[in-house]
Amino acid sequence: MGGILLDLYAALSQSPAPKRDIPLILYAAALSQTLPVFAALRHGRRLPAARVWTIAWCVAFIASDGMQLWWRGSTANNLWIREAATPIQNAMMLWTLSLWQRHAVSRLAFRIAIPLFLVTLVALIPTVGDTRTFDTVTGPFQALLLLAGALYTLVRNAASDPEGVTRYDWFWVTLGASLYFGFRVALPPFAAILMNSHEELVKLAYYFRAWADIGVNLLIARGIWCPLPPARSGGFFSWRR
Amino acid sequence: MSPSAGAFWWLFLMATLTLVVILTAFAAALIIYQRRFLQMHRTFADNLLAAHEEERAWVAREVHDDALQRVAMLVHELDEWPGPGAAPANAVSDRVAALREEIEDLGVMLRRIAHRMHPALIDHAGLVPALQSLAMDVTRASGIRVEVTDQSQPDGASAPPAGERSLLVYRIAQEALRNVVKHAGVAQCDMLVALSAASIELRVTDQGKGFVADDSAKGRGLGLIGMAERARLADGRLEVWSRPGNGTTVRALIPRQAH
Repeated sequence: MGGILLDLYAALSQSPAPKRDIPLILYAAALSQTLPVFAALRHGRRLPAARVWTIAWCVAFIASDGMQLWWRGSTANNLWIREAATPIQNAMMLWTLSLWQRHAVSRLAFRIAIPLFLVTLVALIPTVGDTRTFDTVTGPFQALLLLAGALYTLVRNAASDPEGVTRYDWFWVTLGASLYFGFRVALPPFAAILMNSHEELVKLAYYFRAWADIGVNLLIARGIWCPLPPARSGGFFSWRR
Repeated sequence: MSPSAGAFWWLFLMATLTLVVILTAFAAALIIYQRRFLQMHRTFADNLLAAHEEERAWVAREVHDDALQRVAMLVHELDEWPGPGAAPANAVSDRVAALREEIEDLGVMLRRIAHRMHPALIDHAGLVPALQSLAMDVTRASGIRVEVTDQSQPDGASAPPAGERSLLVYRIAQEALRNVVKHAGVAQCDMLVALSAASIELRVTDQGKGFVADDSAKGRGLGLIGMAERARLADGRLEVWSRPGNGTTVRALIPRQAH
């Protein structure tokens, strides 16, 4: 998903070596974030709530990346934008996942997890110390939580509806989100550790993640592109049924 | 500690934190869901009972206002028959008298049914007179003498409890007395009613056969379960003390106001 340019920039900012040009693939990965937004144009305003939130999530990434790139022109530290935006983006994804839950308990659990997640992050802030290490410190927690949520939704929904899962938006979006958060679990902390000794290796990992991000955005766009579910003509308990 | 070991340690710590958040969220969701489910179940049972009572009241009203009026009219018609100045033959007169008696019996039976379906006395006179009337009905129907004691406190007796609470206590009393008639094998039982500002207490005691009261719900009839359910729906409680050969006491304590 988003932030690949800035992730690498954040990683590089911890390296004593002089900064070099960022390769094109990273820009391509950043631009691929717009794919789901374009896919949404197919359905216009008829998008279901979960897809609207997915698009909002993508737009939040584009906005925070754009703000950071714009801020990068000045000399001020722009990483605080990520510190503020990432929890909001992740909270949005938790809300989106809650909309795809088929059982009331799971739906409620995802919604309760949002304030819990935000409170835990606030509690972790004192351990961060520096905005450049925010992702290194809190990244694994955020990514693990979202990875667990996305995988749970994917497996649970697929298990209850094993036939023709590819017809559903949740299948593609949660698959994409699982890949995205999977990469985010380990990359930032290990990049921070290896940057001084194996900078090339870290960059290689980020290039690989850039390709994966393009794949993730394609998967999410595919989910948004899915045909809309038929509109309900009455409530589940309606006596007219 | 090497940096990679530190990273692994940090990952482990974060994984634990994640697990804690997930488990907390699911545990909280389960608790909230259970509470909502119980509330829903309770509201449903409450509405079901209310609908049941409403239906019974309607039937009682119909019986009282329609069927009983027709019976009264029939009796009146028979009184007037065969018309002024005309004397019926003796055989016909006997049959009319028998018919009249039958219809009067039918009227008594219908009145009893109407009263049992919905005790209008609760609405008109209050809970204690309705319970006294119930006791008399039981005595009349079964021969078991029911001694009613009113231990209401002055503050409780001055403000009558809400209609639905009184009806609920009445139904519990009805069921408890039905059990006495059916199972106790006694000639007398006691019913105590105590109204206070906070609660309504009802106690039905007999010295009859009794049963093993500490048994689980298994084997109990619907009567005890129904009484307990009614008490629970009103945020009250039902207690049953009984031992084989030592009689039974059923005590219901119902708060005047819902919590």
